[in-house]
Amino acid sequence: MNFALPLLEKLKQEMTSKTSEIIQADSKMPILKIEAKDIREAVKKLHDDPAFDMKYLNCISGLHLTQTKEDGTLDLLGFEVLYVFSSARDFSTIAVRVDLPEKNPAIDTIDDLYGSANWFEREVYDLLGVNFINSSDLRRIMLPQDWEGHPLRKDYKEQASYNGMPTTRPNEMESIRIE
Amino acid sequence: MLSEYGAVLIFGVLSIGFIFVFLFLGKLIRPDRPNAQKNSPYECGEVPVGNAWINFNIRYYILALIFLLFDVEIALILPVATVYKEWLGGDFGLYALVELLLFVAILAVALIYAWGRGDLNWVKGYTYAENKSDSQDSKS
Amino acid sequence: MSFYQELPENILVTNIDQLLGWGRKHSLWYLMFGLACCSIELMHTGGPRADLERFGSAPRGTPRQSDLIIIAGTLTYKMASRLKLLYEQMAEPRYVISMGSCSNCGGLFDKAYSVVKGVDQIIPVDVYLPGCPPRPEALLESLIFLQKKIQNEKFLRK
Repeated sequence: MNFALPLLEKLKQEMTSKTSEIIQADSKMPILKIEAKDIREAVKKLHDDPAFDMKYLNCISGLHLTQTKEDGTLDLLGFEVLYVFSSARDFSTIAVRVDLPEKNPAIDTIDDLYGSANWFEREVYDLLGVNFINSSDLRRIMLPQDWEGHPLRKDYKEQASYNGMPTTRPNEMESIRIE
Repeated sequence: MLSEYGAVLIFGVLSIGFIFVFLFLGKLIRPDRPNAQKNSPYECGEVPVGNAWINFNIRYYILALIFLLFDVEIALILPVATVYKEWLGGDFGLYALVELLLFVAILAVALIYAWGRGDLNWVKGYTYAENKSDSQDSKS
Repeated sequence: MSFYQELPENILVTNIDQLLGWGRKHSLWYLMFGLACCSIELMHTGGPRADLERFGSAPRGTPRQSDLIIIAGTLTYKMASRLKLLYEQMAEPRYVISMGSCSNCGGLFDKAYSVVKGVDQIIPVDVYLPGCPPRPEALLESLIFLQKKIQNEKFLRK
């Protein structure tokens, strides 16, 4: 019994912009796909409206969308950020998905509504480079503060050394290989 | 009689000299290579920030003081039986008991005073900022 | 018969290097530096079945009191500066056992972006102990290996 799908349809009707669509409608976690500028409105509705009562933010996850062409090269298609909310009233879980462009991905932050959003947003910023505008505290959370680059992007190239430590190690077995 | 004091003197000199000789041997043998990082204060690998000398909490001092008072009281209760030996052998044992109980009662009054004042509380209570509410998770 | 064989049985002769080596090798206090899964094996080695403390190795929590550091687990770049500072804060003579594949060469995470590919890029290592994780008996073997190295060290001549 999917409690969440009627809620999602209600949310879709209440949004001011009519460009949202529902995907994965028959799964346990239906997703509403919206534009990046509508995110604060949608999340505020989910948080404040007692009909939704989505007080729990499960996680914010990010994804770098690519497509492999026939000749093997990668076509970079942008980023996707997924917000997953749950309500404690009837255990329904819904998700909100936002697609961001490849160059300078940026989206409004929700960490004044949900306090736990801060760490999730820091993780998405750290590993994928998505900028969260007006965030109270946006810095790297897992990697060292002076790391360059965002590792989970598909076109990430590792730097040759970090603070004097080389990032590769020669394979000692190669030196004793008998040809 | 002088030779016994001489024995004590030799004992004292040898025991103190023992310590110094072995510490000195250690200083001769061990490697000594100080550098700036080795002399820095230990903070589980992090670079320490600020001063390491902090004020300790005053309640340790107060509790130690109160403990000392009652420890001295116990130390004075213990020899009562030997001091009042003649009274306990005769008919005046009750006097000794009443004196002892009077002593304990005077110090118990002091304990009640310290207790009532709140000096024995470990947790001294919190002060909340007035405009902070911890039941909402949204700022509007 | 040589002079030493004619002595009564309760007299031992040795040289100072051997005496100091014997004393030093049987009291190697180690700094517990357990980072990941190998630290569980380090804890088990300190447990009753394979007892590390019967070799005189007491676990310490501070580098000031230890002369051995057992690096058990994966070292990341963020942790590397702390390890360097801890190693510098140990007093000489100090030794390093690198326990497990991750601290030997990066191990399983050899291609990862945030893992130091071997602890010997930062500090000098005395004994490398392979394994993922090495069994407690293997850690004891590495400690005995280090003890043999210390026994033959000419300590006073540095």
